[in-house]
Parts: sequence; structure tokens; C-alpha cells
Amino acid sequence: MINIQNVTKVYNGKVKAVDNISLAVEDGQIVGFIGPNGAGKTTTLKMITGILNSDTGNISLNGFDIRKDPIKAKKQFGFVPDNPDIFLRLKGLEYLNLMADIYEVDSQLRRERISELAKLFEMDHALNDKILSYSHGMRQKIVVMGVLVHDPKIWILDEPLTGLDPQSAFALKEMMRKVAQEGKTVFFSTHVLEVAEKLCHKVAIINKGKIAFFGTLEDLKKDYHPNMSLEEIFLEVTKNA
Amino acid sequence: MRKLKSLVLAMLKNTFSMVDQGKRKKSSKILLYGFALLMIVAFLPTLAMLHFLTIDAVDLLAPFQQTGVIVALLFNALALMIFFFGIFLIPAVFYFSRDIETLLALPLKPVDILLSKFVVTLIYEYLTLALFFIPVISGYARAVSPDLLFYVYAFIVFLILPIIPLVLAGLIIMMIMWLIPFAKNRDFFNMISGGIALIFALWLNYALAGLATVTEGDLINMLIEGNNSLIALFQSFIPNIPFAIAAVVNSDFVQLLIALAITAAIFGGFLLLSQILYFRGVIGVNETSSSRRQLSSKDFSKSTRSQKAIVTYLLKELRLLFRTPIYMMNCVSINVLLPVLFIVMTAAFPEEEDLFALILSIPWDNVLAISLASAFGVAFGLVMGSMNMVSATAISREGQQVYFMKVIPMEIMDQLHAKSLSGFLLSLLGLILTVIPAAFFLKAPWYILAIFSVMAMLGSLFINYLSIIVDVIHPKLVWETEQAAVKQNINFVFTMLPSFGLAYLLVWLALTFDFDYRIFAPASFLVMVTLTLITIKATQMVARVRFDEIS
Repeated sequence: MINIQNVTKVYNGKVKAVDNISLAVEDGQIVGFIGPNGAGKTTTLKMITGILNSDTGNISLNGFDIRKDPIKAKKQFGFVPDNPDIFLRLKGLEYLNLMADIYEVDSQLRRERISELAKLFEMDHALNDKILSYSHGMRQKIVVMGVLVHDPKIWILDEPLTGLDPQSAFALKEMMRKVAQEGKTVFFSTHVLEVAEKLCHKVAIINKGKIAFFGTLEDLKKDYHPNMSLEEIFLEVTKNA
Repeated sequence: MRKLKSLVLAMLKNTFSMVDQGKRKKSSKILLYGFALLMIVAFLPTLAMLHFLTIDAVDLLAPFQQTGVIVALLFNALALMIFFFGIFLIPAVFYFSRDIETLLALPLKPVDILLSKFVVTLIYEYLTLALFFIPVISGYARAVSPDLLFYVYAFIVFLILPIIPLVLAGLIIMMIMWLIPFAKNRDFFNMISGGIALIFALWLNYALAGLATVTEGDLINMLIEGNNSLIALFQSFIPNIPFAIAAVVNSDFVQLLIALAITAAIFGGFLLLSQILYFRGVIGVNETSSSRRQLSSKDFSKSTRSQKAIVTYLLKELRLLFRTPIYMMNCVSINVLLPVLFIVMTAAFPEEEDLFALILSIPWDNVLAISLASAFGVAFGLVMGSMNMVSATAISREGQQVYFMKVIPMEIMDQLHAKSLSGFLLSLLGLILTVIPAAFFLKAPWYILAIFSVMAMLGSLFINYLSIIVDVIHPKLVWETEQAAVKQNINFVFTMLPSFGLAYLLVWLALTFDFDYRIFAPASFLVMVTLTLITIKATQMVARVRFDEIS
């Protein structure tokens, strides 16, 4: 699980990008992180993954504090960034291998996983080519595969569906459901409210650095109007916050 | 015409806005303008020197009525320079620029795109050209006091001078792009264009050497003949240049007309040809080649074998260095070029009174040379380790992807070890390429070479970690092209200067004082080991503090 307690991040001593937020993403849950542009989503994800340090508060992943025990904490999760342009001059397979070595996946297991993932994402003909030659969607796929190859207990994804073709988006969503059923944690940011509505057990709405709502969609609808769409509620929540 | 004007304006604005994006902080704007001012101030003495040198040269040549040589020299040199720049500039502007895909989708004729790009390139060339043209021509004018027509003709020649060299460079590039399919791979092309330029420079060297084959007697005859007869020595590969020279030197209108006519004819021909050639080469230029071939199960299992994370990380560093053309040219090939250059210089100029002669004069087959071998060894390691810039740009090269270093469950220090090891291994390549010929040329015994090598490795290790510290403290992470990560990165200056200083100091100590080698060699070994260990420890400390701030 991901435990975020009273976390604040201030940029340049002035701008409060994240303002005293607390969230607990339980095992076996898919939680969508939604909010307008500049609300603090990416900053929060960066703090969870150790890219940024929080100014106050604690973040732990499966009980390991990201600041006090960074290596153990980082072994718990796989991270898909919003920009998949990474190591463009490595071949797809070289990238997957790098990830497998860093996360200490043994040879046999990585072979099985890579073969399986390559088929699932229709990447088996592209693994021997440089990532530079991939389309945006293919780059997104290889980064997702780089996470799945070490089968993390926690998935953290920043806009993971952007650029994916319908088949791959479907495959990824199915995998998110499957790993959640296995008791793993999925936390992802998105702008696509429909995805959040269909996929997530809970949503966290962040606005101007504060958590405006965290709970199930049923609770959200109860709080507002049962006949309102998520889009309408979202606009309402972010307007009033 | 309106289309052309809009296109040219848009391209110019785009390029200039890249220089000043308007979003800079005030302090960084001041820094930028300050730097520009500094450059101008630094350049002024050079320009003034060029101006006064011209006046002196004209005065010197005036008694022989050979002042026109200056104009001939200027036009030829500038034409060559433009051609040389063109070979590099045209692929970047005409083929690989980011706007190409947008332009191709617009209802434009090939000639519209080509002409607008040509005009933009020409404007840049004018700016470069003016830097040399104005000081020399004004110096010439001050010395010979010509009539008003001279200035008019000189200005017209200034305008037409870069056209044919650019057309020639453009034709060569268009042919390559059309005929050689793999030239469309930008990475590959960047590599071979460097090669083309190098071959051209060698050819130029050869051609200029041919100039000297005129016998002394011929030269004197030509000199005393007067009437600018020496101009005949310059055989230009640009057909309008002889006429341009005559037009300016003799204020000859007919010659100017001929120069203009030749320029117009060649440029017209270029535009016609471009209708056929340009689109054939430019369409699909940004596609990257890929095989889309499935790996055989044997290859698959071979390339998915597990390894220690630090080894894979090191391999990743080396692969990126070798596969990225800019890194390949600046960080990898220098390790090969430096030793080759060094050997060629040593072999070619053995009698010259410089470092090479000094190295050759040392009795290397003597135990007394041990001190020198250790000093030169450290110096070599320091110079190679800092010149290749691998470690000095290790973090900068990550750019916006630096987050990867922080997200993975691998100690930052292990990643930094892998990074400095990549720099160390590349300087090792340079060491091997130096030691083998040294064994042959200097006839040094094995123990001298061994001491040299060990000390070089220590020097290289030390400087690689020092470079990592500099880059961790001040990484250049925001860049548009990989070129900026390496070429516009001043970090290596901070390591190169101290490393050169230390190298010089050690060699000076060994040469000046007659130290007993039994003390000097072990002492320098211990000093280097201590320095390296301290630097590694310092890297750890700096990384712990700084990596929290990098994101």
C-alpha cells in the first residue's frame, strides 16, 4: 500500500504545489488520481517515487519510507512516467534487460515475462530495434513493459494510456484489474474521467495542491447529485475547491 | 513571392526565438547579454588586427603592384569557408530540421521550401562573412584609396560571394540524400558529414601544398611582372571568383557583369535541379530505420541473460555513448584521435623543438626514466580523462530523463561508479593506442610502459571522479539537442584546467629536479592513490547532498 501523510511541497519558497495532503491507497485497489492541469498530480507522483523530496510529511510504500529506506521502497513499485522518451538509442530488448537487471529478475523468469508481454502488446517484432524508431505509442508500451518485467507490488503510472492504441489500452487496463485482484496496488493519474469511472475502486481529486475528494465513486455521487456525470461532478468539485 | 517572404520570416523568427526564449529570469538574461557583450569585446581586437594586418600587407605588396592578391586571398578563403560550413549546415537546415514535416504537409512546391531555406542560410552566411569581409576590405580600401565604384562593386560581390559555394554544397548533399538511401538516417549522416569535412580539409591541405610547387624563380618573375599577376596563383573551384576579384580590384564593370551572370546561371540551374532532387531526398527523412525483425530464440536467450546491475548500467552508458553521433564524435572518437595525432606529430616532426622532440630525446631505455614515465603517465591519464568529457557530462547527458536515476532501486553512488567507469574505459582505449606505438617508437622497456600505464590509469580514475563531482554540482539538464549537453557544457573546462595544471606541474617537477626514481615513482603513486580515494569519497558526499535537489 501507499501511505501519504501530511505531505507538503513548496516551490521556490512561495508556490505551494502540494498542500498538506494525506492518502492511503490500500492493497488490491486501483486508485485514479485526477485533477486539472497544474493541480499537483505530477508533483505528488514525483514525491511518492523519490524524484522529489517533500518539505513536510512522510510517504511509505508497503511500509518502507521513501526517504529513510529508499532502495527497499523503490523495489516495491514500478513507475511509468508521462513522457516515454527514454534511452532512445537502446534497443527495446536492451531496455527491458536493463530494467530486469536493476530489479534482479533472473534470466528464466525475465525471458518468460518478456515473451509474454511482447505478444500481449504486439511488440515481438520491434524488440530488436532502437526505441528511437518507435512511435509514441510503442515507446509507451516499452516503458510499461519495463515496469511489468519486474512485476512490482505497486504500480505508479503518470497518464499511462496516452498514446496507446485501443488494443494496448485495453490490455493495460485488463492487467491493472488483474494485478489489483492479486492484491497489488495501482495508483495512476489521468485526465480521462471515463477511464477513472470504469476502472477505479476509488478516486482522489486534487485541486490547487489539496485533496478535494478521496473515496469511491458512489460516495462522490452521493455527496453531489446521483444523476450527475463524473465530468459534471469533477467540474463542480474543482470549481468550488 | 509573398509565400517566400512569409516562409523566410517565420524561419528567421523561429531561429532567433530559440536564442532568446523570453522566459528567462532577469538574472539569467543579464548573464546572457553580459556573455554576448564579452564575446563582442573579445572579438574586437581580432577584427582590428585583421584590419591593420591588411593595411600592412597592402603596403608591402604595393611596390610590386600586387595588392590585388589580398582581395583574391580573401574571396577564395571566404568561398572555401562558406562551402565548408555549407556541408554541415545544409543537411541540418534543409533536411533534418524540425519544421520539415510541417512544411511538407503544406501546399508548397519543392522550390518554395528550398528557396526559403536557402535565403535563411544565406542570411546567416552574410553575418559570418561580414565578420571577415568588412575588416579586410576596409583595410584594403584605406591602403589603396580606391574610387567610389570600388565600394559598390565590393558590396555586390559580398552579396553574391556565398551563393555558389552554398549551391555546390547543396548539390553534393542533395545528391547524397537522393542516391544513398542510408544517408537518410540522421545519425548516420551526422557521422559521415564529419568524415566528408575531414576528407575535404585533408584535400585542401594537399591542394594548398600544390601551391608551393611553383618554383622560386617563377614566383619572383610573377612578382616583378606587377599588375596583380600573382592573382593567377589562386585557382578557385568557384567559377565566378576570378571575375569578382577582377571586378573589385580593377573596378571593372564588365567583369562584375560576368560574375553576376555566372552566379545567376548556376543558381538558376540549382533551382531547376532542386525541383527534381529535393523532394526525392527530403520525403521520409525523419524516419528512423528499423528492421522489425523478430529475434531468433537463440539470440533472444543470449541477450536476456541476467547480469549484475552495475555491469548492465555500464553497458547502457557505453551503448549510448557509441550510438549517439554527437557523443561518439566528442566523447569516444577523441580517445582514438588524440593518440593518433600525437604519434603522427611525433613521427612527422622529430627535429622540432617542442614537446615531441623532448619526449623523443629522453633515454627511455634507462631506469632513470622511471620518474619521467610516472609523471608523463599521470599527465596522460589526466589529459585523456578530461578531454573525452565522458564523466564531465555524465549527468548532463541524462537531460530531462535524470529522474530515472532517482526512481530505480540502485544506489546513486553505484550509478556514478558505472558512469565514471565508462569514462575510464574510454581513456583506457586511448592509453592502449598510445602504449603500443610507444613501445615501438621509443623502444621503451616493458617496465617503463607498465609504470606509465598504471600511473595513467590512476590519473584517469582521479580525473573521472573529479569530473563526476563537477557535473553533479552543476549539471546541464535542460537541452533541446544532444549537442547542447556536450558542446555547450562548460563543466569540462572546470576539470580540464586543473587537470592540465596538475599534469604540467608533475612533468615540470620530474624534468626540473633530478629526483631519485626510487622515491619519485612510489611517492607519485601514493599521492595519486590517495587523491583518487579522497575524490571518490567526495563524490559520495556531494552526490548525497546534490541528488536531493536534482529533479
